[in-house]
Amino acid sequence: MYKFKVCMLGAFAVGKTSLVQRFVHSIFDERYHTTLGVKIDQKLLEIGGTPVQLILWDLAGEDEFMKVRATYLRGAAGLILVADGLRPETLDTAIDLQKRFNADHALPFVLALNKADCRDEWQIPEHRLQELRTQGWTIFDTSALNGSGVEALFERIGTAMMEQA
Amino acid sequence: MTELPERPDQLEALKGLFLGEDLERLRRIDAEARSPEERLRRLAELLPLALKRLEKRGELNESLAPTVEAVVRLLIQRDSQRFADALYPAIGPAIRKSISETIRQLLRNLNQALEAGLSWQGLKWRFESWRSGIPYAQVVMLHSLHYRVEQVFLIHRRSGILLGHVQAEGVLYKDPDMVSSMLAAIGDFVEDSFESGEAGQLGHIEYGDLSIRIETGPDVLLALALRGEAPAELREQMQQVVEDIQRRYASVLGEFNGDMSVFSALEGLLLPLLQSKYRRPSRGLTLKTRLVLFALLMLAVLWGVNRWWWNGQREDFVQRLEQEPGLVVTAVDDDDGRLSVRGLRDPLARDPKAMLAQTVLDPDDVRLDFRPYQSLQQEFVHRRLLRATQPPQSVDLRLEDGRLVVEGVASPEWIRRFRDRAALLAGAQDIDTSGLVSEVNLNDLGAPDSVQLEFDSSTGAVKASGVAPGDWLERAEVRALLIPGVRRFDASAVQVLPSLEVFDAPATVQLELKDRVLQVSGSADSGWIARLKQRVAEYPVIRGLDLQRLVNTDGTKLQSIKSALESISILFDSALSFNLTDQSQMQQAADLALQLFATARKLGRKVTLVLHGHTDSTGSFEDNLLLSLERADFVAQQLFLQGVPASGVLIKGIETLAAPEKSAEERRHNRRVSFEVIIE
Repeated sequence: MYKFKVCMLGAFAVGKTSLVQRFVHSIFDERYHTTLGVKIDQKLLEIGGTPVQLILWDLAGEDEFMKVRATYLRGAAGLILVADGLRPETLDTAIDLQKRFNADHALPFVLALNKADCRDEWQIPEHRLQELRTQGWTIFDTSALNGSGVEALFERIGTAMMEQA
Repeated sequence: MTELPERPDQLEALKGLFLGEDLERLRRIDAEARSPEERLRRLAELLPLALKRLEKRGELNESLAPTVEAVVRLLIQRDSQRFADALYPAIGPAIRKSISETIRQLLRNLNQALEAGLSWQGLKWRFESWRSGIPYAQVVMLHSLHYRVEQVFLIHRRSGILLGHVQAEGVLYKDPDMVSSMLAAIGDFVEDSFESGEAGQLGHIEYGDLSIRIETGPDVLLALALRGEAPAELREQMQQVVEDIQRRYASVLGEFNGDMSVFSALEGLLLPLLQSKYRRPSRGLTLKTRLVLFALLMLAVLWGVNRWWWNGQREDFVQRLEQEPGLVVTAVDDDDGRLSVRGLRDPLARDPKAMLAQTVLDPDDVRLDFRPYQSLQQEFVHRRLLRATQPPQSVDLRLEDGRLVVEGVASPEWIRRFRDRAALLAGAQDIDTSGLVSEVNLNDLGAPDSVQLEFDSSTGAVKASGVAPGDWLERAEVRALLIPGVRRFDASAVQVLPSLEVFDAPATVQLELKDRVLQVSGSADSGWIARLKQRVAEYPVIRGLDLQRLVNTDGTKLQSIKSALESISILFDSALSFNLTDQSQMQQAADLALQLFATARKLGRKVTLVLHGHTDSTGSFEDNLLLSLERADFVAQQLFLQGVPASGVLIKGIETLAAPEKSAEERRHNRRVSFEVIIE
């Protein structure tokens, strides 16, 4: 049995919470975001036959008024960055967050590019993503609507953390 | 050192030969030893190392302690303010914390004391305090320190990941993994939001009666969710557990990689914290148990009170039996819950069973065994005497110091019977009958109803009153004195009725005295009747004389009728008519005539009524004779019409002409019919 603290980060309203909502176990409601700035969820995985428990710290979305509290990232074993495929600036925020909290890539991290269901309307040029991939980023096209890519995302981050453990 | 040779240079050369390079070193060492600076430098180099070594051996603290103590003293003496300033950052918060904690505790105790002060529990605690001598406040505190640790979380401090969790039985709890992370998040949030900066830690969260105690180690947080008031020791215990875990898992915790398998034995360390301490086991009783116990206690109290009350009733009853005259209680036992009373009872005493019936005691629960005996209490001797002799109401029978005194009036038979029996009765040593008088039976005197007889036993006199015939009185006077006990007969109050003989009635008369009225019937002459009246007047006792049924034989009545009738004149208005001047005279005459004949018939006498016709002097004798006859006849006819028997009536006319009248009045008077009664 492994337990990992995983922080979910992203710009305001990129759909972090709704993205994972269907895949996690939760006992706290949305209000925690606005009060504490964090909401804890739980995700159970099995990686290579080992049960792995992800404690997801779903951090309140970042915007110009509200910054992610650095203290919440303490002790995290991995990061899930979330961006909105329809809003390029959210990718900037994700990159910025990654730079701020994981510049040295000490923690395994993945990027969820949300709203995969509207892929045709994406405003993010593929070359930018390609660039990020060459920098070692793992990017998942995810959809809160149909849940595509989410399980793979968890699996990936879980595996990455297990490798580091 | 030995003396050195005089030639130093030679010596030096020699030294150089012997010692070579060492000589130079020796010189250096010597120079160093001689130079304080150099020594200081060397010492400064060595001292930290030496201290470190000493510290490791634990000797340094001990050897330094007196010095440090002296230095601190000196510093304080020299400039205490400066010392205080220096210490302030450390001591200030510590004191504040201590004071606030103390006040908090004090308030809590005070609240509890007030709350408990007037309650049943409070009274119980006060009693306990009084009994044990422990101050009340302390007792309250002892009782108040009950609490229950519901959950224990061991949390990796950095990541907030739950390393271990135990919970008390029956506690509802939410996913501890998420809760622990949230706790960590809250800690982070506080740290972040209030920029406490330092390595402060969330130590305490309170919510209603739930509190979360958090003890922080370098790598772990130990959080206890508990209800109630935890004792101070719990904090120490938590610290020990944290230290223990830190020590045991030092290697894993520093580099925690998410692998939980290494913490499998952790639960054993956390379980002891899962305490639910009740200082007083009795306080652990559930409400239900307490209610049941209370009910049982109440039942016991009720039973006790009930028993006590019944015992009281029994005692009362026994006491009443003991006090009851004629009853002697010899033994009182409890016979298998039943009251058993044995004793003696005079047959004349009250029945103990009846006495029992008057109490609230169940007759089935009381066994009474009373054997008969004769009480020599005066009351009982007295009652026995009364029962045995059954004296009449007129006799007073009493005991005076064992002497039986009998007074009053009783029948001779009773007196005889009494004398026979009294001597046989126990309890009276001596009998005084001097006041006993034999009863006088006045019935023998045969007094009529109108006579009341009274016997005065003190004087022996019979006093008669009322109305009595003289002959009875005479007999009674003689016979009364023949009755035993009668010494005198007093008839002064008797009104004596005369003997009927005194009236000397003829054989045709019957006399009867009825209600003091002399009733006379039969017939007698008026001479006797007159004498009777005189005689009766002599006797005031006779209230009346009834002559209704007596007939006067000598015709006084006839005479009176005769004279009345003969005094009547029937006047005629004129010489030629038969108009009567006064019609009532005619009627009166008719009535008297009827009476006359009726009386005569009753007396057996013969009477003749002669009607004399008269005329005035005018006219011839013949005319007037005729007229007078006609007038007489007219009246006669009138009488006959009224029922007067014609056989007894004669009419007569004038025999001579009347003398000439001097007035009209005289003439009118002559125009009449007069009556004459002839009694044979």
